[in-house]
Amino acid sequence: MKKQTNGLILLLSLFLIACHHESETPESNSVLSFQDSLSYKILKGRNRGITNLVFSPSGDHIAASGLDAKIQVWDIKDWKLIQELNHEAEIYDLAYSQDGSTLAATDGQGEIRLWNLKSGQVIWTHQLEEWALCLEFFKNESVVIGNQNGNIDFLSIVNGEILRSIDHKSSALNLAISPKHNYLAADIPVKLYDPESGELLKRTRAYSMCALAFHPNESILVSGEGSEGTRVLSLPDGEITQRLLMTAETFAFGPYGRSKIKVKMPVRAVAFNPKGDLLAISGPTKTIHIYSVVENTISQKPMMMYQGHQMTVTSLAFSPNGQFLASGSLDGIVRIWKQN
Amino acid sequence: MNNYSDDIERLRKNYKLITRLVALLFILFFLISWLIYNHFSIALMDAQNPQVLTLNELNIVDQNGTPRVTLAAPLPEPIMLGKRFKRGEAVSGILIFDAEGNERGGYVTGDISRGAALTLDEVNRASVHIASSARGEMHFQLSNGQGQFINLAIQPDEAFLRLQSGRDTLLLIPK
Repeated sequence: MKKQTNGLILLLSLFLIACHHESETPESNSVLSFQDSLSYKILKGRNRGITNLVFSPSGDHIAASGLDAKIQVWDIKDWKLIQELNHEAEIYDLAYSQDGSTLAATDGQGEIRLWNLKSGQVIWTHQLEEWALCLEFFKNESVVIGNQNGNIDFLSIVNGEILRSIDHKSSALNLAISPKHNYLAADIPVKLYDPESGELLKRTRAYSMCALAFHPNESILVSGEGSEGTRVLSLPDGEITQRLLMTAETFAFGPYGRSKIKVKMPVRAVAFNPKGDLLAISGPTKTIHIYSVVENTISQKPMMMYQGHQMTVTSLAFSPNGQFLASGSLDGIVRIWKQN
Repeated sequence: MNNYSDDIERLRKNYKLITRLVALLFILFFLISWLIYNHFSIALMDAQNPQVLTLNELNIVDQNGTPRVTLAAPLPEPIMLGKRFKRGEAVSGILIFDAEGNERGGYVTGDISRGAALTLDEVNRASVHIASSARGEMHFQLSNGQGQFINLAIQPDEAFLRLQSGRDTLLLIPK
């Protein structure tokens, strides 16, 4: 009798766990799905979540920032951890300089630090009154930051002093500079600027909030929306040409009892491969969706999905030679996916 | 013979003196030990059973070091999907976070508006909101962040119930 009761409790528990599990939508089950065991490398090293990751311009190294206030750098020859740089607070974003000799990072105490990667020493620190959630290098002359005071500041690569500012009129959560340096995009809403002159080129109807990525040939801009899905904008007009929804299925109490519902999910990270024929998208679904890109149009359904992360995938980056896709997650793990 | 008896007498006196000194030292030792024990045990008891704990912020973290509950005045800015955003107004009270560290709700008062609110959040947006202003208005709102919401509110001159779906008002009482 006791055994039967235990069995019933076990079955009931399994049923409840199954009911609470969020799953991918059925239409996405038709695509190729690569499970955890097929991720090429798993780089562990921290308990707190990863906020961003970048490959060095040469593709020799990969650096990841985290909520644990650390930047970790791995050598891709043997995937060994070669450097650990410490901040005083959670780090939101990082970027390599064009020559790969320095790394800029922004943290929760409002410090922007430029690191010399050879010596592991800080070259300069720029202290903000509030903080910046995003930064990028502009050419080899400045670090561009999205200041929470509403400005986009260009900091001198030499000493960290503000060279010039764009009055963005809102706290930028993301910014991206196009590969040929013709555009600077910052949210919310997404605005396009000429990074050289600071002139506002276009105020778009995309809201981003989570991620921005330019296509390598600067023909389209992809905006990862904090509320749901992805918007694709054509350049230079900034018009929305496509919407890609990311959905998940879950169970909820409906008017007639417990039922399956489909929910639209935010997108946290977007990245094009260097060739521009693949777009990777990820978010709280924990799955990385790979879409094909043909003539500035993104396929409506993903061609591949990578699964393995246990929490929101916050960052995606393709290696410069396109051989690897790296993903960082709030589960604290960097996964490397080999591209064939 | 006399010499020996004098020596014995002197030794006896010394022995008595040393015995008394040792006894005195023992008494002093026990007295000091008792005083020290009393002093520290009271302090230890105070630490174990604090009557008042005064601090600005108290964080409960999980095994990964991710904050799951925060009590603070003021509370930290909200964090969602690994990014810390700016809150519209400084608030104080209690916040709850999911295993990823996303802010998922709270029970707070506004430091400027003095409104009190209880919220339950989806990732990246508020979904259940129960609030009372310092005086004059209180409301209950369920929202999916996509234009659909239910709002039940009371203001000094009226009370109403509104059910909205996008631009369509499905129910408004009183009309």
